Amino acid sequence: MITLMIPKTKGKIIPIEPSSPSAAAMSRFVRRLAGIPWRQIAGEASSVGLLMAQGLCAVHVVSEHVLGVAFPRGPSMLPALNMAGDVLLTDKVSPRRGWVGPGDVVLLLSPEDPRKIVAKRVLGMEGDEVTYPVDAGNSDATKTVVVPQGHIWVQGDNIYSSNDSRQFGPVPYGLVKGKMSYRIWPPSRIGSIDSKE
Amino acid sequence: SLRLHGTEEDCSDRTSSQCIRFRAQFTAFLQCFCTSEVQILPVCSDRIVLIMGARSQLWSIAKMSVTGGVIGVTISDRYVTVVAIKGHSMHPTMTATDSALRGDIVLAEKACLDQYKFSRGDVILFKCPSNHKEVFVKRLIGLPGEWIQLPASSEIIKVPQGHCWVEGDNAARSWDSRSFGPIPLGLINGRVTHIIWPPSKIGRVERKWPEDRIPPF
Repeated sequence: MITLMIPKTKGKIIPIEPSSPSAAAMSRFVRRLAGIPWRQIAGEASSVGLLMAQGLCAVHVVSEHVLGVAFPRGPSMLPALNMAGDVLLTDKVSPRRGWVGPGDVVLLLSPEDPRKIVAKRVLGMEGDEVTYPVDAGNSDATKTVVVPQGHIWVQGDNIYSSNDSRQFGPVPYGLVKGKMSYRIWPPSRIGSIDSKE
Repeated sequence: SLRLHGTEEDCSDRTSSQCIRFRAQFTAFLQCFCTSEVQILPVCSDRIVLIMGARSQLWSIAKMSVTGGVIGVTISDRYVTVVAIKGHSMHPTMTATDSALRGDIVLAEKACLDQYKFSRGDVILFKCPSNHKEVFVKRLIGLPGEWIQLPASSEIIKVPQGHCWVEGDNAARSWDSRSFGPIPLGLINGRVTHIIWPPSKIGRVERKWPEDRIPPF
């Protein structure tokens, strides 16, 4: 084992001449380490880190409260939305202010699994009477229901392949997280999402 | 801007080295008290004009408040938020009063909204199913898929998948799942963990099962 005796003189460290080549290498290494401006690096790293944190917070605020991006998948909203590959701009201000009405395509948390976000079209607001096909494709039977207070009726455009209010009933308005307003991809279909009754 | 009047003796020749040194020292002295840049201009031989950026000070205050606001909103959305209790449905665990602070102030955590994993007896914040603008605070009694007994009758119902059954501690004055049924988990806003006001009630909010209820199965 090589021991380096380092006496301190008025705060300065004066290294003693090492006695062997490996000790010489180690003392060179220690001097190199002491020469790196650690405090400056730490200061710069923390300011860069702070800047990154501020940036991430700004991204979160904008995408949660103003305008977000959604990538819907699945066949339940054909032909308005493709099965995959669409990129949509989501307006997060409208649901909070109550500017959602029949015909809008909305993003909502699924009442069957809150970790799933689904895109459906609003067919009825509170107090509206909604008539819907009970068993699309097999029979023509329909049912009429009145939407309770504070709830909305959502249905996929593709009624043959959609799990919506016909299965899980009217959903509380509080589950709506955004209104899909504009498609930005694919380029051939760029434009606003039609709102139809 | 602030004008400082020097005398002719002090700075008769604005190019003299003494005058330049005086200006430099005076600028450094004033810079200690100013967050924005201080400039001293020799306009004429007997006047020193001092320009202080008052506008840039307001701008930096605005920048700091916007940054603080953005960080505060992010923390309140994702990690922890502070809520004041209104209403008496959770008495005596939490109460509302008629004072200016409107009642107990509690801390609610948002980490539970990542996986929506709750336990029986948690106190949760959620949006009212019939009015999305109101937020309620109640205790979680039934988790998804459980069979629970309705308190008043001997009816047994199953809590559907993705929903939960909530009841207030103060059964007489609580409008809860006994009236509006099970609520979707997606309406939950957070889980109350601590009371932080009034000082006599500071402490954890414990997970608790109501005494006379049969636990679900």
